[in-house]
Amino acid sequence: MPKILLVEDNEMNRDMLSRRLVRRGFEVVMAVDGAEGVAKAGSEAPDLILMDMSLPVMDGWEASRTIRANAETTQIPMIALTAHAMQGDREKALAAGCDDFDTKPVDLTRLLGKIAALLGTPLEG
Amino acid sequence: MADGKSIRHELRTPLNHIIGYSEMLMEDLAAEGFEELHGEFQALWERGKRLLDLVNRLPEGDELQLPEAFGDWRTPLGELIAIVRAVKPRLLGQAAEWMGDAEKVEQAGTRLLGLFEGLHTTPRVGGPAAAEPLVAKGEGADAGPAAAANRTKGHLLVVDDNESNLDLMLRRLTREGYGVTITADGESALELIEQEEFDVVLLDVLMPGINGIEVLKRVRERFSSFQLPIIMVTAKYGSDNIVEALQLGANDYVTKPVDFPVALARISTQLYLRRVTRELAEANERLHRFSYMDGLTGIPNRRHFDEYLAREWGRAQREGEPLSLVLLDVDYFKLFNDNYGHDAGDQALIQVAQTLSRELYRQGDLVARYGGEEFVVVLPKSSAEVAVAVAERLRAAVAALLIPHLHHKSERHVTISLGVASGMPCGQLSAEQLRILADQALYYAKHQGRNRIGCSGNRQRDCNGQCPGRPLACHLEPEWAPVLQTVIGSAG
Repeated sequence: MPKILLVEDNEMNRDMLSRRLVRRGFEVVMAVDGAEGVAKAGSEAPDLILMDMSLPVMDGWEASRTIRANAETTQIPMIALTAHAMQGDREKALAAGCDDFDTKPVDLTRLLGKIAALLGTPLEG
Repeated sequence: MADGKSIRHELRTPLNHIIGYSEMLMEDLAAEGFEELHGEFQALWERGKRLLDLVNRLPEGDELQLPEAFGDWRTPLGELIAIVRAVKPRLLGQAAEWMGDAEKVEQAGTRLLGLFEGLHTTPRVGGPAAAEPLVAKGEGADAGPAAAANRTKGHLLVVDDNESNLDLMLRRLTREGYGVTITADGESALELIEQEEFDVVLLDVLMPGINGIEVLKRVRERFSSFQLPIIMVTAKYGSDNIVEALQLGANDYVTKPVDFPVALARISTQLYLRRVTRELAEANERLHRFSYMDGLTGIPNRRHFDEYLAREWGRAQREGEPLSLVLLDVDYFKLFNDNYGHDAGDQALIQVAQTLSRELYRQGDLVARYGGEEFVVVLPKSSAEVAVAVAERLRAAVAALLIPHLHHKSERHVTISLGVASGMPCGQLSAEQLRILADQALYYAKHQGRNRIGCSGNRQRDCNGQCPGRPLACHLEPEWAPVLQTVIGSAG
């Protein structure tokens, strides 16, 4: 069962996305800010990280760079989630070390496709 | 107010919740087979998407020019809140485990409403008209809840057996600009509701005598939740009372001790929803009218005709009366269009339609555009003889317009051909068969040379080929007889 680390400060967004991912067979661990995200990327060793970019304490851009810079976590695939496709956000996310990028509200089918692509597993259901 | 970027962020957060939770509920409810409820959340989801679209279309940059940057957010948001409130009692009844998620959608909707309202009532930062409050400016049709309440100074009825509660509410609500009537028991509340017009009722659940639930029940027998919104005031959150009250048609509730800003917000939301609902009902009414009208000629359309004929056929059947149809068609209309252009063709159709309408003056007669250059007339309680007379009047009136048509094969102006079919509704003859007969009669009139009338149905009795004084009314060939025999025979 692939483990996903969801870094998201908004409680309802966390609730929503985690429930939907769990229902599709993922194990989901959560972090509520960038700093916790960095810590859990190390301690939980997730298979993939979903990183909201506008986070308190340490924002998603900074957290992504930190995770990439750490030898232990540098291999974990990361998908950046931003509120809206601002121009340059995609490039910025890739520059921060993310492997892919998606916008909120999350189109679950599309996101699952990206997750499956990064995990190298066939898409279920 | 913060800069444009954070406004967008603030607006998107509740929208994400609305869209996300609706989507999740759609999945769950569909999986559990709650198709209808699924549809409701689909509707919520669509409203959420529409609002998100508005927010996403806001120009980027740090400074936001409000409210010019917004399109119409009130309609989708008003609908969204109305839908989620309406669906809650149904969820409670059928699929209560999703109630919490539905409430999150509602909360997000209310939050969004507050944000939008805030944007509209806060003077713009640095704009040229910074000092001008937008509510005052938007005095017109589309001010939001707060503005609507202040403008109309809604009339509230507060029902509570506790005198100090009543006094408190009276003073605070009056200070907010509402007209307030108070009463201490259910009996007199019902009387007041009979006598006066209120915009919102605040109704205490626990009262001696007739309690709030009973009052609610009786009010709902007369007024729907949109006609008279009722907010229940209850001692405890999560009690059975709330569930029962919502199921019985309460619009909302507040808990005691009353958090006044919350109560105010709920009152103004109810006022707003009621207004939006009224506007929607009016808009629907207009749409309904348009959907039964032909766009070009302004007369009833095919759909109107279909429903009208079905209704009149049923009535004729019950009352044992004959009914006639006249199907008619502009002669050589294609040649007219080809030679004079489509604009001229449209003008000719409009003139013909107006003439047909004008020539039908008996109540219950209906002319509709059947399609293209075809029109149809329903003549309830009319025998074939009457119908042929009407048809001849129509034919003559259109010919008398003298709309030039030099490409007509026999005349120099626009003419029509008509097919008349009459019948007594009975088991063997359906409205559809009658229409086919009228069509065949029209075909026959065309075949005979146009600018004339073909007739079928009740031929022997009503128009037996003589029709004195109507030289252009001709009749069906004998080879049609088998069709007609059935009709005549069955019509008795």
